[in-house]
Amino acid sequence: MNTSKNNIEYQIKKQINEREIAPSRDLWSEIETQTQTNDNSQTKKVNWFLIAACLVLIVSLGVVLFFDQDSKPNVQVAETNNKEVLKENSAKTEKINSHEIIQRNQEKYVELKNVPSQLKSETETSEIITEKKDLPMIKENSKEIAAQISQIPAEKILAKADSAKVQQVKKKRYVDPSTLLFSVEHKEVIEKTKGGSNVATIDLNTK
Amino acid sequence: MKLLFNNKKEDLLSRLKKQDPAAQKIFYDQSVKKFLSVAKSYISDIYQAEDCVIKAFCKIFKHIESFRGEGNFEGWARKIVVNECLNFIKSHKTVFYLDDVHASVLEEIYEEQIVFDFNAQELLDQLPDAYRMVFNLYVIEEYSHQEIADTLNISTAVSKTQLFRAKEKLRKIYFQQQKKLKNEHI
Repeated sequence: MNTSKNNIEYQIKKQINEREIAPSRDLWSEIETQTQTNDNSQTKKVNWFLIAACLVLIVSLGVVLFFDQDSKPNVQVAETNNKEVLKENSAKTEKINSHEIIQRNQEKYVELKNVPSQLKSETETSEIITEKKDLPMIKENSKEIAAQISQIPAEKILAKADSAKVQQVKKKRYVDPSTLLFSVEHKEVIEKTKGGSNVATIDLNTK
Repeated sequence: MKLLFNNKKEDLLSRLKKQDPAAQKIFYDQSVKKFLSVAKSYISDIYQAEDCVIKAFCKIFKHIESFRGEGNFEGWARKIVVNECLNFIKSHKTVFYLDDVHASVLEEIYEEQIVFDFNAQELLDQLPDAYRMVFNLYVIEEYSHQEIADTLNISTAVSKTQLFRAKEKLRKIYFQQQKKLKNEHI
């Protein structure tokens, strides 16, 4: 481009760049209204997009749920229900067993404390011994024990308890109440030996 | 003082980016007259030029986020005004671009004894749209022929031809005006 000041182009450029034309009408009010309408139309567009997106989401969710239900067999549903029921039951038994066992043990322990030691039966003493030993175990591993109890049938639990009692009876360190009772009832038969032990002589022929 | 002025400009720009109506009004007041002058150089009708300026302001405010601070903001805004005017001409008028001119004819035209008391707008108003667009883009906006070709979807050769013809036409109009003035004085 010729930058010489002696040509028409340069003079036109100079005049155009230097001049300012005042608008013949209020352009600002029109700009304001147009910008506001643009903003409104934009929000409307966004709203429409939101609605469309929500509809698509709902439809897709519905389709997924529908086909999911169809694909699952009824047997599986029953199994899951059973499992859930079993879980609930086991949880309940856990809670009940652990609490009840502790409560029962405590009650029995209190009762047995009140009863004179001489009149205690063989079974009661064995129970005290076993239960006294079991108490801390229940406290420590109550959940595991409860779970084990829930899994094992009731008959087996009883059998286990009996065997435990028998074992505990064999391991006892205290005086056998039956021998104690015998010694009280037949004082005249018992004689002390030189070693310090009591020996009872019974004549089997005399009744 | 210069620093303060720059800070004010940056502050105005940041407010414009936040779509602050007060800042938009300030920018409008600062630049509407200049923008209307630019628009008038492309579109002879003042009402149509004003419509283009309104659309340009709306675009500037709407797309201000796309201005990344590269270069002058006024230049960026002015470019929007020019593009709006070009779009208006393209959509409302049928523009004819004449055939190529022989290369030997494309020489610079010098006016040695010209008295520069003419009205530039009167000369531009008499140019056909195709000539005016190319002339304004080349002379006033300082576009290259390649940029003009890309903007108007024409070849660079056509752009050069249009410019040459525009200059020729302007010279003719100018001398006709001068003759008229001389006759009036006599």
